[in-house]
Parts: sequence; C-alpha cells; structure tokens
Amino acid sequence: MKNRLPGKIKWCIGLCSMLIALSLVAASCTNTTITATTTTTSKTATSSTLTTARTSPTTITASTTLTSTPSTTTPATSTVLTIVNGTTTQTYTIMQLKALEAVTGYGTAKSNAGVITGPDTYVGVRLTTLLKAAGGMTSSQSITITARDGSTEDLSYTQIYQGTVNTYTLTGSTASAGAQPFVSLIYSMNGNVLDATNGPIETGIITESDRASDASLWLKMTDEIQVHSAIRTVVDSTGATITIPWTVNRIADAWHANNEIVMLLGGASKLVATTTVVQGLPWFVKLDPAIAKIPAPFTSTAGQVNLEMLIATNPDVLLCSAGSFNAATMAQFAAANIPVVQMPAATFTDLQSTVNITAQVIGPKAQTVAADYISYLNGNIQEVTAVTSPIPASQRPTVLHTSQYLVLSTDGANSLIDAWINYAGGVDVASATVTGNQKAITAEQIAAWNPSIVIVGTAPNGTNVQAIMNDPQWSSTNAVKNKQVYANPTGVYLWDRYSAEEALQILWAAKLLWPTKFTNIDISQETKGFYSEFFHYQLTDADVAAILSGSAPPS
Amino acid sequence: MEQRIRLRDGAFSYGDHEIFSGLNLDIAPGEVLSILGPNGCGKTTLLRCLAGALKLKNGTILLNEKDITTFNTIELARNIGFVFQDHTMSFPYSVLEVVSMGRAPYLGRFASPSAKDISFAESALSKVGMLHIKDKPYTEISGGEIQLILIARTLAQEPQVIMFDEPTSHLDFKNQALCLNIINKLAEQGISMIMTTHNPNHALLFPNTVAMMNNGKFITIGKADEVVTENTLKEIYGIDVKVFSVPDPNGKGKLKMVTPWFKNPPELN
Amino acid sequence: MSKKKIIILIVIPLLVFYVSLFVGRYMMDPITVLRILLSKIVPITHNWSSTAEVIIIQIRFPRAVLAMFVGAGLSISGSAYQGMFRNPLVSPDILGVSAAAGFGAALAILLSANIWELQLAAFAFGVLGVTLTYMIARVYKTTPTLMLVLAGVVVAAFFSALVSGVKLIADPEAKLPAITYWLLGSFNRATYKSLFTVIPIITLGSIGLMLVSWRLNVLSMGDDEARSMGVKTESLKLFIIVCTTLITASAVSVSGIVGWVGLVIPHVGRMIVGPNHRWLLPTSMALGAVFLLVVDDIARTATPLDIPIGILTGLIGAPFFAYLLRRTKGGWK
Repeated sequence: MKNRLPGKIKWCIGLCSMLIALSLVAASCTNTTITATTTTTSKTATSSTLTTARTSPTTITASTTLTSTPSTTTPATSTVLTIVNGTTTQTYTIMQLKALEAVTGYGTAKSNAGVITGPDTYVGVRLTTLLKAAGGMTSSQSITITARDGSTEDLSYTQIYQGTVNTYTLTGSTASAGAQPFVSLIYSMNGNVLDATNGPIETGIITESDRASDASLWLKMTDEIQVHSAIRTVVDSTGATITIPWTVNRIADAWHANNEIVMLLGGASKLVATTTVVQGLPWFVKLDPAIAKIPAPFTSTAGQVNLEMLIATNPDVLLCSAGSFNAATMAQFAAANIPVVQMPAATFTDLQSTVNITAQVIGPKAQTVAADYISYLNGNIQEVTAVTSPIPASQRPTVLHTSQYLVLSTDGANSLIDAWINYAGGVDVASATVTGNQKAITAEQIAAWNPSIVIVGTAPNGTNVQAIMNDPQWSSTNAVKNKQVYANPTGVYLWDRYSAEEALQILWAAKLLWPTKFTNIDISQETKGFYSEFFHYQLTDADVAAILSGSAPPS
Repeated sequence: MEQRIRLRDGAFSYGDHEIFSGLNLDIAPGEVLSILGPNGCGKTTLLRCLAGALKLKNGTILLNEKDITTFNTIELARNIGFVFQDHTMSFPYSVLEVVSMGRAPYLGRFASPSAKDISFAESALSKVGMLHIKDKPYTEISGGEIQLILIARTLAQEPQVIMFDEPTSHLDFKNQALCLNIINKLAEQGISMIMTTHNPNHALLFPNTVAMMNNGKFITIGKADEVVTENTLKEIYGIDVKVFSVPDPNGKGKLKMVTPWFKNPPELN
Repeated sequence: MSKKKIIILIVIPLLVFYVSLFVGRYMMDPITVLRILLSKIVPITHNWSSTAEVIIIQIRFPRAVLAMFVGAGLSISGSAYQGMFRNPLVSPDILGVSAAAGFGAALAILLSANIWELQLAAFAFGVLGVTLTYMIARVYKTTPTLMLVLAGVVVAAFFSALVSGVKLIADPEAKLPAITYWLLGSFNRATYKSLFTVIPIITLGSIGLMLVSWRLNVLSMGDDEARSMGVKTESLKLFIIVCTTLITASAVSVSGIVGWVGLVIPHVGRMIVGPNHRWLLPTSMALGAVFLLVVDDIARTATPLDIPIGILTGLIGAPFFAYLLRRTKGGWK
C-alpha cells in the first residue's frame, strides 16, 4: 500500500495533539492558581489572629507556639535579670527578654558524679546578645553570674565568645563539639516556663543534641550578671602588688597557722593544697574533714614543696609567711603562673595584717568576717590590758613558756609568746637574755630564773606537765613547788603560737595569771562562742575540756 | 726417724683452680728446706698449708707425727712460727714490744707479758743480735733490722719450725746474706726452717735440702748440691743457666752459684 | 708506765670534776658549794636556797659525771677501734652505731616517747645498727677489716637517710627542733636516773676493753700475723666490737651524738704514752673525761643558751686534728 495518507487526516491528528497538550497545560495552571488562593487566604487568616495577640512586632519562627498560661508567679512586669557593666545597669523583665532575638537549642548537663540530665530543649537569649546590649565585654574581663539563692558562677571571655567549655557524649566521655557551644539565659524548657526552683531565668550551655556540658556551668535562678575585670590585685606584706583572679576559688596554703585563718574567714572549701602538719592536727580535721583529703605538697620542713603536686592542684593563689621560700623556689612558682601572697608572722599587729590580707584574697564576704575577728581580737586585748598595764614589773608573775619537756627550750623577747605574756600581766622570764622562738636553755638556767609559773605548749601537754612536776631538776622552781605548771590549750591550732585562737589565748592567760582580776572571764563560754561564731561549730563541754587541756578530741 | 713435718699426697685448689697436687715432703728436726720455684708455682700456698693456715683439699700433713688439723690456733702458734713476706706497719711500737707479741700463745686471753715473758723476748732479740735497739720505735729502723726483729718475734714463740715466705725479697744484697746466715745458724739449734725462694743462689748459699717446684709439682727434692743443676733449673725457669763453683775461702768445700746465659738473646719486638 | 703518770691520770680528772661543780651561770660562792657537797656526807645546817642545792646536786653533779663517763667511753672506744682497724683515722662511729642510735632517738621523739623510751630506743637501734654491719661484713666465717668498714658506711648512710625522712614529717613547732637538737648532742638532760643505766654499761665495756688491751697490740699487726701468733682474731674482734658498741650506744642514748672525741683523744694519748694499748686505753679514758668535761663546762656557761656539745667538739676537735696532722706530717710517731 502506498504510504499516502490523505493530507486532511494528517492535519487532524496534528491539531488534536496540540489541543490535548494545551489543555493539560491549562489544567495545571488552573490548579496552581487555586492553591495560591487558598494559601493566601489562610495566611491572611493567621496573621490576623497573631496581630490581635501580640503587642509588639516580632520575628516569627514556624515552631514557635504559645499554648498555656505561664506557671510562674512572676508578674510580667517585674525585673528578672540585671546586667551590670561598669556604670551601665540594665534590667529586663521576662517580656523584654522574650522580645530579644530568641535562640532554641539542646542542653544536657553532666554532674561531677557523672549523672547526665537531658537532652532537653531550651529557649532563651544568647548571653552575647545581652552583653552587647550592655556595652560589650573585652578579653581582659570576666563575668560573675549571681543567683537568687546567693550562689555564683564565673565565666571567662573565651568561654563566652569562643565556647571553650568541656563537652561530653551522652554517656559521659569527653568529646569535642561539632557546633560551638554558647551560653544562653534560658526562660523556657521543653516548651514550658521554668518553675520557681529553676527560674524564671536559668543560665545554661546550648550544645548539639548529642553533647553534654558540665553541670557546674549551669546556674538556676539566675538573677544578675556582672561584668568586671578578670583580675584584681592584692598588696602583700613585702609591699609587692600581686595579681590574682577576680574570683579566687582555689587556694594553696603553705603556712600551717594560716590554714586556720582561711577556715575562720569561711574559705575552707576553697583550700586545694595544704600542709602535712595541718592534716595531722586532730581538731582541725574534726572540724573540716575535707582537709585530710586534699593534697599536701608542703611538709614540716620550711621552704620545701613538692612542685608537681602543687601545680597539679591548679591553685589560683599560694599563701605563705613572708620569706618562707627562697628565691629559686619563688621563681619556680612564677614560672608556673602561681601568684604568691606573703604575709607577716611576728607580732599581734602582724596577725591582724595577715587576717586582712587573707580576707582580701578570699573575697568580699571574708572581709566582713575579718573585720569582726579583728574587732574581737582587739577587744580582748584592750579588755585585758586595761586591767594589766598598770601592774608594775615587780608585781608581775614570772612566766616560763616552753614547748615540750624533752628539749629544754623557751621563747624570749620579740616573740608572740612574750607579747601575750605581757598582755596577760606577766613577765617572760627569758626575755631579758633570750631573743626569739624556741631557744635551747640549760637546766641550770631554768633553776636560776626560778619562774613562778610554767606554761607548756604542744601535745602531749598532760604528760609534759606531769614530767616537769616530777623532775628533780625542776624541783627548786616556785612553779613546781606551788603546782603552777600548766598545759597550754590547743584547739584547731596551737593557741599560743601564731594561730587565730590567739584571741582566746589572751583571755586564758590573763585569767591564769590574775584570776582575781578577771573573774568575769569564762573561758569555756568564750571558746564555745568563738567556735560557734567563726567556725560555725558547736562544741560540747567535753570538747571544750579537751581543748583547754591541750588534748585531742574525745572519741 | 721422727720427722718434724710430713706431707703426704698434698693437694690444694682455690675453687676449681688447682694450685698443687700429689706433693710429698719430709722435714727433719733442725733441717733447712728451701722450696725453689718461679713466681706462681704454688710455693707460698704450699707454705701456708704447711703452717696450718690453709686446709689441704687432699692429703695429710703431720706435725710431730700428729695430724696438723687436730691442732688449734694456740697449739699451732706454739709450734710454728711464720715470717710473712710483707709487713705493713701501723703504730710505732718499740722493738721489744713487737718481739714480746710472740709470747701470745703462752698468755691467757686477758693477760699481758710477765717479766719472764719479757726476758724471753729479750733473749730472742739477742739471738738475732738486735738487743741494743730494743727500745727504739720499730718504725724507725732499717728494713734489714725489721726482718730480724720479726724473726726474733717468731723465736719468742719457742717454735719447733719457722717458716719464711720469701724472706729476702725486701732486703738489700748485704742483708739478704745476713738473713740467710741467721736462718742457717738458728737451724743448728734444732729448729726446722722452711723457706720459699725464687733465687737459686739463695738455695745454694748454705747446705740444705731443696725442693724444686714448678706448676704445682716437685720436679726434684734432695740435697742442694745434687739437685740444683743446669738441667733442673732450665726445666723450671725455661732459660739456660751455668752452675759453677769456686773453693770456699774458709777451706770447707765449695761456694756454688748460678748465672743465666743466653744462647740466642731474645730481641726487642 | 711510771707511777707518776698513773697518779696524774687519776688525779687530774677528779680535780677538773671538782672545779666543774663551781662553774656555771648561777653565781654561787665556793663556800656554799662546799657546804652543799659536804651536807650529803655529814649533817650540816642548811642555810642555802633550794635553788642552790638543786643546781649543785641535781644539775651540775650528774651532768659532770655524765660528761666524764661519755668522754672516757668514747675515747677508749676510739682507741680500741683504731688499733683493731690498724688505722688512726677511725672513730667509734665507723660501724654505724651513732647513725643508727640517732634514728632510734628521732623515731622515739616522733612517736612522743618519754625520756626512758627514748634512751632505750637509741640504745637498741645503736646495737641493731652494728649487728647489721657485722652480719653484712661476715665472709666465710671471718670479718675482714675492709668489709667491716664498707658495711659500716652503708649502714650509717641508710640510717642517716631514715633520720632525714623522720625530720621531713616531724611537726616543725616542737618535734623537729627536738630531733635536731638531740642529734647535735647535749648533756643537758643528765639526771641520776639516766646515769644509773649508763655508768654500769660504760664501766663494764671499758673493763672488757682494758682486759684485752695487750692482745689489741698483737691484733694491730694484722689478722694473718696475729693468727700466726695464736690469737683467735675473729672472737677477739667480736669481743672488741661488742664492748665498744655497748659503750657508744649507751653514751649516745643519753647525750646524743658527740663527735671527734673518739677520733682525736687517742692521738693525744699516743703522743703522751705511745701506742701500747695497755697504757693507751686508760690514758685515753682519762684524757677524754677531762676534755669532754671542760668542753661541757664551756657549753653550759658561755651563753644563756645551751650550746649543743657536738658543735663545740667539732669546732675544737677539727682544728686540733689538723694541727696534729701537720705536726706529725702524716706519720704517727
């Protein structure tokens, strides 16, 4: 058959194809037009709903939904957060915070014990946003965040702006973060407003869903953010200006007696390195059991330190008595970036100075305690010297103070012992010929001095007193003849030697030397009061008796 | 005839290292024996065994026909005197004090010399002709005099045997001769003498018995005249020697001496 | 030894002892002192203070006696060891008795022991130290001199290290100064009770040494030579070591470590009576007693403080030894 279709039929097929194609196209166009219309309609509907609900313009994110009424009782108009940056103070209500650019993300906290809480979803404001609004922050500054219950948290510049925080997997092993973690002031958790124990604002670290951060960086009930210098300075007893972190949280104390002062000023929990001698003091350990568990890079040998052990504790500052370390060791401390604060150790004035410098290092709360302590100390000195200073030397009892029985030694002029003996209305029998602490003397010298009172310091005081009373070489002294040989009290530290308890020593010694003039002094009560106020520890009667006789705690 | 000392089949080793073995000796009262041999042949060790200071590994030593191992320290000291090769001085004792020490075997643990002991010591000193220096510190006398003092000290022990370990090694030419003379003279009084030496001339100086020793073995024992020959000397020393004699100026026999000679003198390398 | 010398050796120490009773920081007129002393023998009316009596009877008298006994004991021990080791540079400490006793005392102080426990600990450890030295040095049933010396060095070093360890952990307010002070030596704590233990032991040990004094001469000729003269060298050495250790350990237990006396006094003795130990041993005792007594008088009188006696014996002994060295030019004539 010939391939000849009539021209008419070809023409029809072509025309039909074109018509089909056109209608298909037309149909799809028609549909789109329909959808768009619908969307437009619904959009309009939504926006109109929103407009009625919101009071201020805001960016809308699809997942943002407000469902129920907030459970917090904070009225919408009260301040929930304060930012202090130098002279600038800004306050925010919860609504003002929400008006800022919100950020959503995951947060998981890992406690020191390894307990993982999360991941939870948090909504809040970036800390950097708030800081920028408050004038910004430089790298030489750090911030302190305070909570409503008084707890605080410090954050450094690099933690805030570079996200240099520890991150972990959800099983607790250390792992690096993919996206940079950031600090958020959170007001919503898992879609809910924060309750009163956590909020209304909580500081948290936002990470990816599979990463956790240290629980110590999270602060519930955040109240105030303060921007300040990252460092501050303290002038020590040598006149040097020492630079220490704004907040001191880790203290290494090489001076045995000073550890007690740190405890008295409320800084015991900040001690991270101490001395073996302190760890061997029974009352100290009883009041602060944690002291026995921290490293002790310092021993009884003056000037010695286990440098590696000290560096491992990562201290913010090292406290010591002036001149206790030689130049080479001081250089090693400097090389390890450990600031060293030296304090004086010879007189009662030095004691006050030491308390003040230590308080400055610990922080503002400690300085309040220091003022209280110093006024108590000075009050005691004045109370006692008001009675004793008129007593002429010829009427004062002669006192011999010795540290033990095995070695015949005493403390003479220019010692703290000489000072409190004088305050208490006595005269140090060795001060005319002996200068300084713990000088060895002969038995003949003791017999020649013929003291009327002998005070024996350092445990075991009870046995030393007995040994002296029974020793024929002491038998000719008035002290032994009249049974005036006493044990010096020993509490958290030795009362008679450069301790915070010197404040009590003065009262005890005054009453011992002049019982008739100091009938108003009740040493037991004073001791209980002192321990209660400054150590926050309630002593029993048995405890006080042990301390006053220089014995270990009753078991 | 009773022998002062008999050695039968004696052997000694330091650990696995054998010093000597299969040695036999008889020493009569008043006899002088020279043990002649090169250094390292074992003669000093042998001497110390004979003195009872070292114990033989094998064999027996009889002292006065009694096994020497049955003697205790004191009994040994009363019978045997020993003159050591080296003496280091520590303190400046007087000559008489030194010689008196020889009386120790006769004194109790806590005793000191009596007048009788002192006179014994003095007579021992006079025997060696040194009485005139009895009060001098012995650190201030000559080497030859010291040797005689030490001999006198052994005499104070009233021994039946005196042993000398290389008695002439620290002495000069004259004193060597004098020392050997004393040894010989003392032997005439009935004390047996045993000495070690490496110098054949010393062995030949006086009529005595010679035991020639090499590598822990005696190659010959007998009268000096008979056994010290060119052959035996070559055997123990490994070099050629000439033995010759001249008439004794006293007319009693001959003076014999030994001199080495080299057929082919060894060259320096 | 001439009668004259013997008399001098007995009389002079007694004289110095007597004079020492009058010397001290507490001024007393000599008549009172005499009367106090006499009152112990003959009844005399007391017209002196109890202070004076305590000072003379309870303090000066026992202290002087102790100084004499310790000086005598250390000197005779030094002489005996110098003879036994045939070396004039030897001191009684050579086998480690002082270092070990020092550790015993330091340990006792650390553990808050009383004076009797301290004395016992020092004595016990002193004996222990020497026992260790002897056991280390024992080779094939003999204890050669060189082995003894080396073992003594080792044991002394070991106990010295232990003492340093104790000092490290001792509390610095009281125990550490006590240990340091004790180690430097002092007669400050001389009481009759401590004398009663020390005097018999030192006396016994000294008698033992004097009994073997002549045999010490023979021993000083060398082990081999002494043995050839019938001396049982091993038992003699052991006997000497036991006697000297008893003497030195008990001396150290009451007075701490007093150095140089046992080293220098025998030399002075040799200069006076010669090397014969029969005369040297008693002479050393007398010289040592006088020397240490005089030094102690200085220690307790020169300043109000009690100067540790080890410092003074070193300050005096070392230069004197240097003088001896130069004078004898190394030869011990």
